[in-house]
Amino acid sequence: MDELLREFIAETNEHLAVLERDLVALDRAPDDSGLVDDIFRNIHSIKGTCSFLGLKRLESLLHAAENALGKLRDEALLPASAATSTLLGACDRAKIIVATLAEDGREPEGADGDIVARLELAMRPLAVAGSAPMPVLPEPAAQSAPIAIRVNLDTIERLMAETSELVLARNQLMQTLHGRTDPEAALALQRLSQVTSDLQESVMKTRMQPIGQGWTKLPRMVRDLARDLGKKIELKLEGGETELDRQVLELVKDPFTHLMRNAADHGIETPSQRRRAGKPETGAVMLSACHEGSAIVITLADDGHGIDPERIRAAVRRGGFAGNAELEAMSEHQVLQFIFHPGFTTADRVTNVSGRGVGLDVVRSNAEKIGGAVEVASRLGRGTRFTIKIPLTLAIVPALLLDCSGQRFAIPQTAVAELVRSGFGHRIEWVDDAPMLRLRGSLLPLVGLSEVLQLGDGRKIEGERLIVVIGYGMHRFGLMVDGVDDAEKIVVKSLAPMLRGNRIFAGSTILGDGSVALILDPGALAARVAAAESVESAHVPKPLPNPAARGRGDGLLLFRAGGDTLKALRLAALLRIEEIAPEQIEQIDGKPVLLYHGAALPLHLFDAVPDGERRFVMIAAHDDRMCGFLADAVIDTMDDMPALDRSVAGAGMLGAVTIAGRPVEIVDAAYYVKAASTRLPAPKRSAA
Amino acid sequence: MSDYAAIRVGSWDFAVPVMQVRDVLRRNQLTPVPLAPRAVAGLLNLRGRIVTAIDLRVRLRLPPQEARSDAAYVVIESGSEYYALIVDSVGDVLPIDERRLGAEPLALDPRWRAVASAVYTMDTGPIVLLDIERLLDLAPARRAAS
Repeated sequence: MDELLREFIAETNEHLAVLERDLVALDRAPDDSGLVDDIFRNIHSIKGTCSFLGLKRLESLLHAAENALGKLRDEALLPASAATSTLLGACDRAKIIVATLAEDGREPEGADGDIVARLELAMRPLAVAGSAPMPVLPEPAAQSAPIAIRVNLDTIERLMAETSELVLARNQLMQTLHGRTDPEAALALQRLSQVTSDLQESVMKTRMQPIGQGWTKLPRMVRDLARDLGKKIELKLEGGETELDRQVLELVKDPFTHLMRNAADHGIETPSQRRRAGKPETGAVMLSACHEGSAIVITLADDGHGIDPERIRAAVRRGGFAGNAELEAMSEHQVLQFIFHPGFTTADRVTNVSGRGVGLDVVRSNAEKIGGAVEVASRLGRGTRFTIKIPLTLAIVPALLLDCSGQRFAIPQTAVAELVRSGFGHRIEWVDDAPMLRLRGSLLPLVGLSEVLQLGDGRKIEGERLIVVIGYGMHRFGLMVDGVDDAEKIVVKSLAPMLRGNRIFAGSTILGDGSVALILDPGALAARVAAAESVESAHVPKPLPNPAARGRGDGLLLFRAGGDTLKALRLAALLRIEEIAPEQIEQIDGKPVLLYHGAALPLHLFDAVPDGERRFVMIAAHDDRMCGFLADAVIDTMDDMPALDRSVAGAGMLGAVTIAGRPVEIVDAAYYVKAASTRLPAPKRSAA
Repeated sequence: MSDYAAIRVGSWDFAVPVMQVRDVLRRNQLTPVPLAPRAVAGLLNLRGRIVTAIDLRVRLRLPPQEARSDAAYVVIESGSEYYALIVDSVGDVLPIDERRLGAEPLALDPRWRAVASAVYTMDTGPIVLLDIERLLDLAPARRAAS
């Protein structure tokens, strides 16, 4: 195909995408004459090139569209929704023609009389908007020197691959020459190193695209969905200029389309339902993106009716995804996560838009495949929010190097939650035959890396062990290793086909010292742990909410301690939750303390009853001092803190919030920690 | 005429098509791959490219040998991946006349029938021409090993 035509196709596709976006915008704001001008200019410029290239069919189609639009503009008519729809239809037809053009190098056979007739019909005046003066087409902006050129994607990919190799070669050179070069060579090496890093960054930038390019189809889709479903939906896009690697962008496009359909179909209610619920008739769907470190966080929030946890529970029971007892023990947050289970469906309603029980698991697995994570939060009647966190680029991955049986393995940093040494405070316990780590009150399944890889004798768990806590989607588990080396940025290379069978390895990489290391696939490890767990799940005690699992600073832990008023502590203030026996509570100088790991920890009782069955103690820290809070029951965790009412704040109380219509007192942990340490000697630790 | 590179494993002679040979290496640092088929000796770094090393002794089901200090790695390309065949020594390039290729003699060791494309008779004795693609298909070997 000739170069000119190829360029025309690329350009026209972009023009058509803009055209579509503008038409959808016009549908919402029919009186925006500037928009009509933009659309007119856009169509006109494609048409111009068409006649130049002798593309008769496309030219006459666009000509009809241009005429219709010109009439709108010249007669200052307000475009009716029907007119916009017809123009969108013409836009669709143009896309089909361009697609065939790209494939065959010439226009498809056929005529567009149908569309042309509809265009003429649609532009019949419906209402004359006064006698507004004829808008004058502004002078096109003076042509300045081009600041962008088109580069073939293959060229960029090759540049990227070569740069990756250069980085590896640089790393090897630095390792080899380390400490035994004359100053001149060292200087040259330093310069090479700097230039290589800069080059790498620049090349990475060429692959970056604004995420908004993956969103161009969404406004049209939401508009069409809203029409089909008889709903009113307003789509807000924010942060479309946020850049990410084009490879990553390709991978997240589909999940977004899916989530968007879900929000329109299941999230947003019909106008009458919304009116009854006291909400504006038009539902809002907000898609936003922003950078967070080396990751991009994309949020899709709607103000629809939210996800009913009871419906999820019912569906979980129906589908046999979890037992009754297990389900009872779960927090609302945990129950919600079932929507990501393969095959999960609430299935009392299937529309042609979504809801066939496929999809959300794919969204999650797609995100996890590239080292990302998906979370859902929902409040019944208020809305649903999906958060997807994905790395900015796949080409270079920050990884942690682990030692196991004398070999080094890499694991992506994104999957590593923390490093823990078993021993004081973190006991390894045995539940039947399975090792578990007690970490901040919850039990974490453990798996030995040497056992998984069948290296050495495996189950030596005595003594101190180094444990890498892996967080992967819903899974959290501890990976026992012999040692942890450096963190290194690695270039992922795929394995030969004969090595892809076991799926424990995601690939291999060349380390700075030139040796090859295998990259562990956290997903495959998680699947192994999950498989082992399901066999043993009958014996796993009720999991306690794990404060560390909630990374967010404004999360809350809800609990009950005497009386009916719920209380909450901010998760950020909490170290861990322990289940204790009443005999562990003693009185020193008439004040309650908890005998805890050989030390006396000051304890605040609220009105909780310090005897009877087992109790929970939430341990909070402030300025290196600790205090325990006794609770009758731990209720739930929440990811965000609702609006705080400070008018009721007082000594030991930050204020109150309303959760599910009930008042909840927010306990000021720092106040109690300070108060406790003035009346007690600092808890002394005995050797544990 | 096609060129073949002669390789030796133990006291047996084999040959691989020169067209597919990319390099010959000596001593190399291998990273073992846990859970891999037995014939995979490990991964090595060839100028920034990761190469999967195949122990030809294991692959051809020959008796193991204790020390192999002077092992050679014959790097071959197959399906855009690089593999290194670990052999005891690499010999000359043999121009082989396809017209002189005999059908497999009945005497050919059954272990090699699956991986041999032909047997060529040299003045020094028979030499087994290896089919790289079949050699790299480890599935049957794995089944046999387990």
